[in-house]
This record gives sequence, structure tokens and C-alpha cells, in this order.
Amino acid sequence: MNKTLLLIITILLVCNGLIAQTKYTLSGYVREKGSRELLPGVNVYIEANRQGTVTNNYGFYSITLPEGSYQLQYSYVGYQATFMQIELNQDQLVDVELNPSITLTEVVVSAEKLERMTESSQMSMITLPVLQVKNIPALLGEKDVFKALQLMPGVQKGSEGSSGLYVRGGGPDQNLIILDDAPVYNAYHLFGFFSIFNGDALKSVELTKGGFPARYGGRLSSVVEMTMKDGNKEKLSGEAGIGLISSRFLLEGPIVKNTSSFLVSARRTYIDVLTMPFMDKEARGGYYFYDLNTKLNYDFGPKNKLYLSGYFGRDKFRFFNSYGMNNRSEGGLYWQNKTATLRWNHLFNNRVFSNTSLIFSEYDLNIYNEVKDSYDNYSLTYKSGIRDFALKYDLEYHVSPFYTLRSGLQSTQHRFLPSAIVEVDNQTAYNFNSKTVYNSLETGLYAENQFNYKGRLQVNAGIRLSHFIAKTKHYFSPEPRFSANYLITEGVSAKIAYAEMNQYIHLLSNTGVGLPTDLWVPSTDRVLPQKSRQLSAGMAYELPEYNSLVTLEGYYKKSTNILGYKPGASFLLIDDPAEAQNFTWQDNVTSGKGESYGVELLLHRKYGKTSGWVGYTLSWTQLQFEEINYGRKFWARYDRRHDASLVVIHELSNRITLSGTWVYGTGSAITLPMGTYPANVNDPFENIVPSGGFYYFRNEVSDYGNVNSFRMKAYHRMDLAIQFHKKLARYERTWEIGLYNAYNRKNPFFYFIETGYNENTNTEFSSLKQVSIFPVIPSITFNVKF
Amino acid sequence: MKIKHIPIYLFIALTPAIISCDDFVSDVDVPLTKPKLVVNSYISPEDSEIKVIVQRSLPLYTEHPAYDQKFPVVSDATVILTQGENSITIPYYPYAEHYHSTTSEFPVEPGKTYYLEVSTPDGDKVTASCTVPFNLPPDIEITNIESRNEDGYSQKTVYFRFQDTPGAGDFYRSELMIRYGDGTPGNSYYTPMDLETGDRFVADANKDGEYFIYKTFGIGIIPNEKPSLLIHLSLTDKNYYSFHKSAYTDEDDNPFVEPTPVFSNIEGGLGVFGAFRGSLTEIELN
Repeated sequence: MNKTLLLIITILLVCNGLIAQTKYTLSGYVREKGSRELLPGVNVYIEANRQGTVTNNYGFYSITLPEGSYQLQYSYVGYQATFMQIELNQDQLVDVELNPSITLTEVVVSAEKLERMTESSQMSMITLPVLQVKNIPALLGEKDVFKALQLMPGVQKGSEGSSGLYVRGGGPDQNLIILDDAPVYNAYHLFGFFSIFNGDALKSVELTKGGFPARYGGRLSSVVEMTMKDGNKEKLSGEAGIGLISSRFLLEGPIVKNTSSFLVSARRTYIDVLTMPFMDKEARGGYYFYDLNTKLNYDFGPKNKLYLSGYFGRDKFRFFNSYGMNNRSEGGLYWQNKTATLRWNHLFNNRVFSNTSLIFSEYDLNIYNEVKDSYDNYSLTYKSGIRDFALKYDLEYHVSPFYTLRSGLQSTQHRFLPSAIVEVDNQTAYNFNSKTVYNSLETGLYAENQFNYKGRLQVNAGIRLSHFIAKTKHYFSPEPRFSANYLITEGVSAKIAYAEMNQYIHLLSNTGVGLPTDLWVPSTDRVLPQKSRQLSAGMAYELPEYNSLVTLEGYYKKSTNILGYKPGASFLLIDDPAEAQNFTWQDNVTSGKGESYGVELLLHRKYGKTSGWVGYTLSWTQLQFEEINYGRKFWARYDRRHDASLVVIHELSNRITLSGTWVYGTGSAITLPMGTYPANVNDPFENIVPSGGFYYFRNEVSDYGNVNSFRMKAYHRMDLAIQFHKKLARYERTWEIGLYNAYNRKNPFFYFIETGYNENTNTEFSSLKQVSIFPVIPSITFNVKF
Repeated sequence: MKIKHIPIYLFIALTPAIISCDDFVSDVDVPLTKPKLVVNSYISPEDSEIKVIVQRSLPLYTEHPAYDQKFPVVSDATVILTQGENSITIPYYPYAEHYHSTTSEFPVEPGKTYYLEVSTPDGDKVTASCTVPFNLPPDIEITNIESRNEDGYSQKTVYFRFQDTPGAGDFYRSELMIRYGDGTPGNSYYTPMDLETGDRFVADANKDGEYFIYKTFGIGIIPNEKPSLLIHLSLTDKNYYSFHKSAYTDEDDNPFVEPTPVFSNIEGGLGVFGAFRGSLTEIELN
């Protein structure tokens, strides 16, 4: 730490000493014209001397330059670039409003040319324009941010239809998913088939796969940072959509014009409502999920801004039975995520920006069952979950165009509730009540030093000090982070990055498909924090004549203390909730090592009449656990040698947009029995008991070979969609017709073994069968925007 | 109806819906596997016999008799057991369908490493090795015998323990049997006994030198039948332990449970070659 500080001071002195010219600071906010929505990630660039900066998550930028005359360009994908001539002879506040392009096509070429400068500065990061998410075809027309991310190289999906993200060999439990600073613990609806993010309420989506800046910590493999829209400050506007399984709406508008605004976005499925009239009055059941995003903000002026945002989402499956007089049975399960963030942006001066966040996040799973009849009165409730309260403080100091310092602290109090059960049975006078709670505190302190040498060399060197305390056990770990980007010649840059990450909380998952029963648990004295070290290096090559960027990256990641399950382990506690009190998850887990490496190629065209990308990943992921596969290395289930994706969005005219995706992935590695053989156990009583009859003799076992040594069939699929837009006087409407799995490929979901019997020959045979779940599925959705 | 398995029900409810639609189910080609050699042998200085069972596995995805499926016994293999400079070719004993020798012909000694090689005329060859534990198992200490009388039935529960021999790398197996009668053939009968507390298979990893504590279920006391509890404790090598522990792990069709492959140390084949030293403790319960 001392060395870093010394370095900072030296640089400051050098910068101030060598350059004798008077310097002034140009700062301000960049907003969207028409809504005054603050825009993060906007490039502010002076081409003449190749200096520039990017607006932060709150749309703020600051750049300090010698006195003089400058032409500044503000550019952002999806917006028309704005040029400003500035006579800099004093500190200046320049707020800029960018005009949104109606379509991606309208983006001015010169703006994009500038954008690539920063596009290439951060390594292993994917910025996904929300507009593109909405143009990509989706299962049942349900637009899903995570499914769009799965189409990027280095990011893979799990089983068919699942929204889980497998980033560079890491599992879905190793992704830090943050929505307006709040971590989201279970980001899935309907057993993982949909993520809870449909894009409506989102302003930006960023995925970092490696080279993590020091401000992020707590997970091994990726950070998915999503920022919610603030809400239109000028006029009331909205969006609504009707789909096959759900409907949604968004409403945003000013509370006090140009000062404060609100946003409400909601989505709900309605299969349960539609099927209700067809159900027996005495026995009903149903399933639904809904999401609710809300945000309020107040702008006190350039110095202070306040934001309050929240998310609430729930999945519920329930049934109801009534029979005879006063007899009824009712039960179900529901799981829900709640997040809330209160943020305060404060500008100390035109170079120092700070944000303070108070964060709440909770995920819980609930099961209930009540039986009431003349002789019995039984009730059971089961609950498990995690709850966080956190304080986060970030400071950004734009010292000079060459140096920016970012520093901050985040402290989170986690409350883990592996199980809470109340079971009451009047008939047997049974009364059971048990609750297990663990508390822990996770803290991260970071400093990031960002250097920019003449726009040629950019370095972000930082450190994160992470600390975790659970009961009396303390863990402390310094995590060095480094990334550098060197512009070799115009349009060609080389990058390298190194990051160490620690993960102090672990997900016990039964299937890895995002079931609500997945359980978060803390590190303990027996279960150590998971740790990863990742080195990545790559090249970025710009093709301005094609409006495209090609990136090639290689990575090598080594993880230690990663969690695995001992053979035979199961975490389905609710199998019998009353047994959950004896739940000893620590006995069921084992720690091991993971190793993954690979190469990712991406050709991305972010705008133009035809936009989209081609991605290809060649990768290897191996795991090794002392207690799994008898200590031998084995392929991870989602080790995918080849993974390719093609995304094309074509604007045929102002009224018609065509889109298509094609994905290919090597089959998953599974453990499959290949034969049977006798397990001739040793009988210690063989010579004692005269009959030699040892009581338990397990004769036949399966020969599985090595763990995950069998490959399922390769996965490939094409999705297509066509959108018809029409602008009417007061609103714009869009019809979308989609086709999921257009050529009806039977992709593997799971395998099972079927045993058949031949009467004629009195023989038996087993055959391996594949189950697919999604054939070709058409969909239609209707959207309006006003 | 009390529900305790909702998510599983939901999944199970969904699965047949998927499976019942034939269109969603298709055949998968499985590479044909050759039958593998399966070898089982456990050696112990306390045993008078050396037995090696050699069989073949059955590939799963081939047609086979529906009933009385038997794993073929390999009778024409060459079975060689080696220790240091000495080795013995163990002959096949057709009556018992295994290869048989005695420890007087070829001594099995504590602390020594043995190599087993099994080859067949059609060119299959598998090898394995194991080291006999140096120590005898520790003594069993009876800590308590609890008596209970209920409705005229008398029951006894036995609490016992043993202390791990200091030094890492010890593996234990405990098996219990109840004997009624005086122990002479024809005058005794046996019934197996389970443990209410304590694991049948334990290792001293992170527990070096510690006590392992056990408790039996209630043992029915029949007057004049002279019941005794027999505790067989084995100190085993890792191969013996891993094989038995995994072979006895319940393996059901629960899709949420990781499959449990049974351990093998037979290079090129299946089964196990392990070593152990056992001791028997008898407790009269009258």
C-alpha cells in the first residue's frame, strides 16, 4: 500500500512539476436528449492530442487539460455523436445531451471510430447494448439479458434452455450479478429457464470475464453489472408488451420536471390465470412468476444526486385441495429476490466524484403445507435464504488526463439461513421448531490507479484487500489486479491482464440448473474461501471500413479450494425438512482445484444496417478433487471444446427488422454406466458364521469409467425473428414473430437408460436414450412504446 | 396429503410429460465396450487362505439373458502374486470358482507390499498392488451396556469405542453380528446387527489418535439363548477401505445425487486388491 501511495505522490509531483502550463478542469454530465437519462460509458475524446475519458456509471466525466482551445467529441453506441468547441481558460462545467438514434444504423461513423479507443482499453469486458438484446430472437419471445450474454465468446450456457452463465470454465455460482450495486443471489425464474432480467428497465449491461478492476470482488469468474434506467425526467413515457407466457409494462416520467423522476417496470406470467377456469374447483394448482423494478431519483444540482432503486421478483408454485366439509389441504413453494439500493452521488469538486450506497439484498425459498380436516390440523413451513446489508463507498479522483485514482470500501453483513422449519401436527401433538442462522461480515477495500500515457499505453494497476469473518474465523487476502493496453499502431492494440479473486460465500447446488433449492453458505474453518488466479492476454484489431472490431484473447485460470460434492451427496434438504436440522453440509462438500484455459475470438459489428457478431471459443476445463474420481483429474460437466455463435440483426427497412442466431457447442461431459460387474466384498464373518452367510452382499455395480468421461451429443440451434415496426401518431408499435430452434434440432437435455425385454429370446438389453425439451417453438409478441 | 417433496414432485411431474411425448426421446449411439477383467482379492496375515476371484464384466448396451445373469468366471488366467523376490502362481480351484493358495505356502506379512498380476490367454493383463498394514487393529473398549425392559421384552444397547493408532493413514471397518447359542455349530444362529451411531467405515484423516465412538441398536435378549455381540474390527489399507466404502454406498436413482463409481485399483480392469488385519471381540450379553 505504501509503495502505491508513494507512486501516486511521485506521479502527481512529476505531472505538476514538469508541465508548467496552467491547467483547468472540464467536467460535467452526459445525458440522453428527451429523457435526461444519465449515460454511463460515453467517450469524451480530443482527437488532436489523443486524450480522453469515459463517463462513469452515473454519467459524470472530468478531464484536466492545459489552457487552450479543444474540440471535444462525445460518442456512445446508439446515439449521435456530439462535437463541442471549448475555449478552456477556466474550470468549466459542460453538460452534454446526446440524441438517441432511432436505429443503430444512424450512428455517425466518426463517432464509432472514437469509441473503439476505450472499447479496447478494458480487457475481457463485454458491453451489451440493451437495444441489441431486444432485437435478438428469444425462447417464447421472452427477451433475456443472460441468454444474450451466453452468445458471447467465453460465456457458455449450461443445459438446454438454462439461463446460467458459465464464464471461462467457472460455474454460475462464481458470477457476481449486481443490479444497481446490489448483489442478486438467485437470478432465475422457472427453474432457470429465464433470468430475472428482461432488459426493459435496464440502461446498461456489462460482463467482465477477466482482468477484473480492483473495485470488483467476491466471486471467482465474472462480474455482470447491470444499471437500471433512472426514469425520464422530461415527459411521461412507457412501453408495454404482450407475449405468449407473460406481459410486461414500463412507465417512467418526471415527478418534478428536470429534477426528479420515477420508473416502474413489471412483468408477470399468466399461465395460472388462463388455466384457472378449466380447473376443478376442489383441486387447483398453478405457477407464476413476476418481476417489479422501481427507481426514484432526485437531482439536487451538479453537486448532489440521490437514487433509490428496488427490485422484487417472485416465483410461486401452489396447489389447493378441498374435500368434504371443512377439509382442505394447501401447499406450495415460492422463492423471491428483493434488492434495494439507496445511492448518493456527491461531487466534492470538478475532479472528485463520490458515490455512497446503502444496499439490501435478500433471497429466500419458502415451502408451506397446511392440512385441515375434522381430525387433523397439520402445518409445515420451511424457509432458507440469504440476506445482505451493505455499505459501499467509492471515490473517483481525476488527477490529470494521465492519471485517475479510484478507491473505495464495501462492507457487507451476510445473514445465512440454511433452514428454518416449523412443523405442527395436532393429531400427534408433534411440534417441531428449528432454525439455523450464520452471520458473517465481508469487507473489501480497494485502490485503482489508472494511467494513460499519450493515449498509447493505458494501465490500470490496483489492489483489493478482502476480509471475511464468520464466527471467530478471519480470512484476509490481498488481491493484486493489473491490466494494460498498448496501442501498437492505429487500430491495433495489445492487452494483458492479471487478477486474483477470492470467493467467501459458496452455493450448494443440487443440479447446477438454478433450482430454488440452491443454498448459499459461508466459508467456515473447514470450508475455505475459493480462490482464482487468471492471466489473460489479447489483441484488438479495428476494421473501421466495416465498422467492426476483432478481438482475440487467450486466458489461463487456476482455481483452488473450489467446492465439489462428495459422491452420493445431496442437498435436497426439503426432501424431508424435519431432517434439515441434522444437515451437515460441511460433511458433504469437498474442496479441489480447477484449471481452465482457452482462446476466444470475437468479430463484433455494433452498428450498421447489418449488425451482430461472430464468436468462437476453444477451451478446456478440468477439475480435480481428492474425494471425487479418486483424486484423478476429470473434465468439468460444461467443459466445451468448441463453442461458436453467430448473431445477425438486419434492418431491411425502417419498418422491418430481421434477426437470427446460430449456436454450436460441444456436448456436455457426463458420467455414464458402460457396464456392470460384480462387487465381491470381503466377508469378515465368512469363517465364523458356519453358513458363511454374510448379511449384505452387494452383487452388482455399474462400471462408470472415469467421472464425466462420456460426451453428450453436440448442441446446435438456430433462432429466427422478424419485427414489424410502425410509428403512429402517439406511439410506436412492434409485432415480433419468432422461431426458436428453427430447424427442429433434437438437442440433448438429459440421457437415461432404458431396459427392454425380449420375450422370444428371454433376453434383456439396455439402450441409451436422449430427452430433448424444446422442438421448434414459434412465438408472437406485441409491443408498444410511447 | 402431506407434502414433503414438492420440488421433486414438480420435476417428476414434468419429466413424464416430456418423456411421454415420444418425439422428444431419441436413441443415442454408445461405443461398444469390451468386457473387462474383474479381480477381487483381500490378503491378511491373520487369514490362512489367499483367494483371487477373476471374472468378466458385462457391457451394458448389449443383449444378455434376462434372468440368472452371471458374470463369467475366468478359469484359464495366470495369477501371479509377488512380494520382493518371491512369487507364486496361484492355481485355479474349480470347486470354489476362484484361484486359491494358503498363507503357509506364501506368507502374507505385515508392512510388506504385494503385487498381483492376472493375465489371460487372449491377451488381457491387469495388475495391482497393496501394502499390508503393519499394526493389528486397536482393542475394542466397551464403555456401557444399557438394559431396557419393555412389555416383557428385554433389550440391550452396547456402547463401544476404539482409539486410532497414532500415525496417519489408518482405515477401519467395523462389522457386527449377534450370536445366539453357545457358539458350537448346530447350536448357534446368527443375525446381523447395525450401528445406531458411528460409521462402519472410518479413516483417521484429521482424526489421528482420536477415539471412534459407536452404539448398537437395541439387541433383543432371549432368555436361555446366551446372546453375544461379535465385533469384527479391521485395520485396512486404503484400497480395501475405498472399495468397500464405495461399494456399500447406497446408489439409488435419485437424479439429484452424484453417481458413485465404485473404487478400483486394478490397472486395466475393475475390482480391488487390498489388505487388512482383523480382530474379533466377543461380548456376552446375558
